[in-house]
Amino acid sequence: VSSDRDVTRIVRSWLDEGVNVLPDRVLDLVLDQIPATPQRRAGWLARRFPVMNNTFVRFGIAAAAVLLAALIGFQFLSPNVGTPQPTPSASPSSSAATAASPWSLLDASEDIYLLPAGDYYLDLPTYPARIDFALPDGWWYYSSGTTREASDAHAILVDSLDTGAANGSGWGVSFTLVAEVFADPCNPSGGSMDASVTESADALATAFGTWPDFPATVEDVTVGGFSGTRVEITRAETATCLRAAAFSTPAGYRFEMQGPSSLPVADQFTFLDVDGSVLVIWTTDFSATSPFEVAGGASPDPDAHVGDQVELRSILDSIVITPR
Amino acid sequence: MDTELVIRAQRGDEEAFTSLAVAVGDRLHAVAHRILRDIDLAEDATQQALLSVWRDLPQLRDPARFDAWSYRLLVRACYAEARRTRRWAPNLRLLPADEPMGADGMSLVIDRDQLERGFRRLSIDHRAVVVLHHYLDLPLSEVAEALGVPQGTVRSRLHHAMRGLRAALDADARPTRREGSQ
Repeated sequence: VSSDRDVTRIVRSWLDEGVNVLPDRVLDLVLDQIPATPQRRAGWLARRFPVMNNTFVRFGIAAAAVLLAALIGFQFLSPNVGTPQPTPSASPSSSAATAASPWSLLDASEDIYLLPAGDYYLDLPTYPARIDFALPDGWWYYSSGTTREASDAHAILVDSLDTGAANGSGWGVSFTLVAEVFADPCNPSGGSMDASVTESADALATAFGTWPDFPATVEDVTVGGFSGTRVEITRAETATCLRAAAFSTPAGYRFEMQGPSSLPVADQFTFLDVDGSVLVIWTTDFSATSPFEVAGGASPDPDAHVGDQVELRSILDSIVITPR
Repeated sequence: MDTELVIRAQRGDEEAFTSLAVAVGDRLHAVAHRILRDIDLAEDATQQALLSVWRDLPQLRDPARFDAWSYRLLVRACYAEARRTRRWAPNLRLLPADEPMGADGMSLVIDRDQLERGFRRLSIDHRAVVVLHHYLDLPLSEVAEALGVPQGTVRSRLHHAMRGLRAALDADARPTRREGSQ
């Protein structure tokens, strides 16, 4: 493309293509709802603010507003509830803890796709701790559920365009919680293990090692200053199901493991005891195209994620966990 | 837009709103489709935007600004749809299948594919600016009014977006890492 003018011409031509007519059924749906949809009246402002003509009253209201804002700020500006400005740095730092202005994942609401490189944190009351980490360029944010605030499965994923998967990558890292561990991942509706298995990192690691069709290897790890247990789960040929769910989160999200693959793939679940709860970090630290990506049309490639693995490990190394 | 129609709808005249919805529905839907790049999401966003128009019309102070105001509601609805339907696979790729070739033949198809990829990498903020300016031909001042942001912000977003789209188009001219390694 030779010039900005050419780009503009191509973009305009491309935008001209596409649908231009709203289907009648959509319009009908709207019009059907109108009689039952009350309008919001605009009288609120008109009734409340005629007194603003009075300078003293206006000053008094402004002063009260400032005072109220100060009180609210004092009340809520604790380290756990503050809302730092969304100013991600241009390049990731080696330590999220030293960043002056990390970016809350929840504040990334306008950027639903690519996250800029920088320092981020996840801080939600349902989690036992705030999690800080540094992201390189080219990663994407996902959260389960209808709102980010209510989600307990937040993930950072690589761009599936690198592998050609039409359905996304499903390859990355997620911060989550466990409510129930399924007795049989191939039959999650069949029941859960005893609730006691969710009470500690060790108990969870032991539980994850009991599935006959999903062999596990266990190692001790330290992440973000907290020691814990990492379980790597693979899939034996005896596993007959296409989709296998390991556990559900308190919000009800079913966490699935890798599907069948001719390439070496695995899920890693890192369990950390944090303030009486267990924080779970899920990762896909393997180099091959994932079964999810292959299902989305990507060509199987044993080295598809070699570069991503380096970045994933740098993200894990940058994690700082701060209990409340 | 017929301001008389807007005023009547503001006062709760459902018939007037029906006429208004018919008049603006196609345009809102076309904009939503170009921002969201998904027909189902666009229909949902348009539906929500039209309901918001009805619900919030009494709060529109200047009926003459109805168009810009309705675009703002539509872009909000696009945000909501994009968030509501976010999936584990946040970066869907749409292929330009079954689309007629233009005068430039294959190169245009490739451009479309590259543009689709590049556009999907943009935030809704950036997409909205591109669509309102380059599709609806709104001047930047009106884009700013429609989105409720300063004109400088619009200029910055447009620059960033067009730079991203240019990069996507230019990427076609060189082999990808994988192609190069094979």
